[in-house]
Amino acid sequence: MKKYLAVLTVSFKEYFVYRINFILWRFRVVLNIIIPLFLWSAVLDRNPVIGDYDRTQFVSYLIYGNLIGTFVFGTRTFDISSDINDGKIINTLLKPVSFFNYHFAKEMADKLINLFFAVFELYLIVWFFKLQLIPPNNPILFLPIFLNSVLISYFINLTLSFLGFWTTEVWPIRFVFMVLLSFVAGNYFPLDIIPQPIYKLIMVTPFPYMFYLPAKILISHENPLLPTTSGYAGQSIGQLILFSYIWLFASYFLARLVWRKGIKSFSFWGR
Amino acid sequence: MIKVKNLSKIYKSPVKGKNFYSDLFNRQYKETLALDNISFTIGENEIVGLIGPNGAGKTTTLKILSGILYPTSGVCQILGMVPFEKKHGFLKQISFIMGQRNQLIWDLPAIETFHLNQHIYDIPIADFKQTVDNLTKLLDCQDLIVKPVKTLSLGERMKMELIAGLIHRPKIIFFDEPTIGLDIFSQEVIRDFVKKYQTENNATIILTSHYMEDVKRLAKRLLVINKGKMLYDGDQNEIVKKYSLEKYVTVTLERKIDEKILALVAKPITYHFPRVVYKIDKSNISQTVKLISEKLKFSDLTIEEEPIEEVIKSLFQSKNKNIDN
Repeated sequence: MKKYLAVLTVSFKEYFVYRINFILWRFRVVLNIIIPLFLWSAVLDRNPVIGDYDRTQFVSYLIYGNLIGTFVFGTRTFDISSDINDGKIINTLLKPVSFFNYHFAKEMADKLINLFFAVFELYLIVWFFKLQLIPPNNPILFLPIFLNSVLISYFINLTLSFLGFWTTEVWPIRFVFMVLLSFVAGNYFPLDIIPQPIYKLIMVTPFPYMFYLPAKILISHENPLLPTTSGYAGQSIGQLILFSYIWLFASYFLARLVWRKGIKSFSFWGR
Repeated sequence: MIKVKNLSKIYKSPVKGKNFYSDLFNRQYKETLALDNISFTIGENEIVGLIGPNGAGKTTTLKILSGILYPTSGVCQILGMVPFEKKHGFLKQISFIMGQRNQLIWDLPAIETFHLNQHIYDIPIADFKQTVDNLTKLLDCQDLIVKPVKTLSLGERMKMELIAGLIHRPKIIFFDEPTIGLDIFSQEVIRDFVKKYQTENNATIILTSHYMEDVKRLAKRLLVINKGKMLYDGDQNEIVKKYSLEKYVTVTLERKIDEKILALVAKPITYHFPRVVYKIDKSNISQTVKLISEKLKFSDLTIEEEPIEEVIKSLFQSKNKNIDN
């Protein structure tokens, strides 16, 4: 454990070397929340209720969701595919560390910094635009599902990076993933406001379990322990939790499989 | 300590297809034989020089030994373990130091990388401090470890690289071109350091280098490979005796002589008055010396073995022909 803490600490130090890059990054993050907020604000001015959401619930979903997103999607796995291609990955392979844990520690540095600043930024936004939020609900149910979303996102990102073992063109594949993610994970709106058939289709993919589900749990008024169907667009919360775990294990085993195949077949040509 | 038996490695690389479609759905692969049935064993406390021209399979060998590459066939065992399994017990006892790649964190001072390694290898803080102290003294670089790595010169960086790689006092060290790109003074420092480190720590070392000087000074035993095949495995001195067919005869002349007269002995390979050098078949030495004393007036005459570089060069050339045939 201690070794991974050391990885975390050193990653923090690396971050603060490039300050301009850091400031620009935060600027981008702030824009990313303000744009959907303005957009939906305009819509909510005309229709005070969208789907099952009134203004406060909708805004709460966006703000809490953004906070979850900063933690879930903050990732350093981009580095891995370039490390594979230029051979730097050899350094990690030679160390007595678990590759998955080592990179998770690096990832945590990214996520923690992201979260730390996002709390301030969102506080400022809420204060400046005088936004009304509902207090977060269901913390006990939220935490394990939130942890799942962090891990699912990590394993999928790892798998994508491991494609670097077979191709140098990981970036386009990742780009498609990110586009999909931003539409169907629920970053810009709660997924249950879209038509039922499409919603149901999306709910069998891993995407909503990285963002929508934990955010939805946090703003849901209903007691999740009661067998309810109304709050989750016709699906029981139990079913959604089950899916979250299925995707957790599926993404983990996929990442492991691709990793094992990758390091076995890769040539590290002339590197 | 290190056992390698019938080790082979075939690399598969994609061949560019006719068009995008065939690249995507019907990719063709080319197979390259990088190591061909290699066997050797290395005992404790040995320094072995692994030499061969570019693409001979030196780095591939080291990568298999250190567990990075999965061999296509054959057995490789180190300290009773299979490298590719990457057991932590194995990784803690080896180090792979490459002149062309570094593990140092680019933006931070090297001491940060050392600290990180201290935690990764579970080194007690007292041992860590002592090792860093020791190694920085040996390399005379106490002031460099606090400077950001990106501000160091190549030679300085290599020193830091050595410390980062040796902080866990590995039993087995693979050096891949540790002096590449360095000036002759830095080369000398690194060589001396490796030698000292090895004697103090009884480490087993495999070294590859394009600079014959590195290998000559450090390794008693040589493994010579070319095109993935083992050409020679044995003592450094033996290779000259075994494969050298010629000797160098250097004559210091008393006065300038016409080249035609010099050629009466044999065709000289160089002539800069007063020195003239002949390369003579070993079997003809006595005859040549006799001829020289008859034909030339000289103040000095020396007979030397062919330098090891030349022997190895001709070994590659002759074996190449055999392999190609």
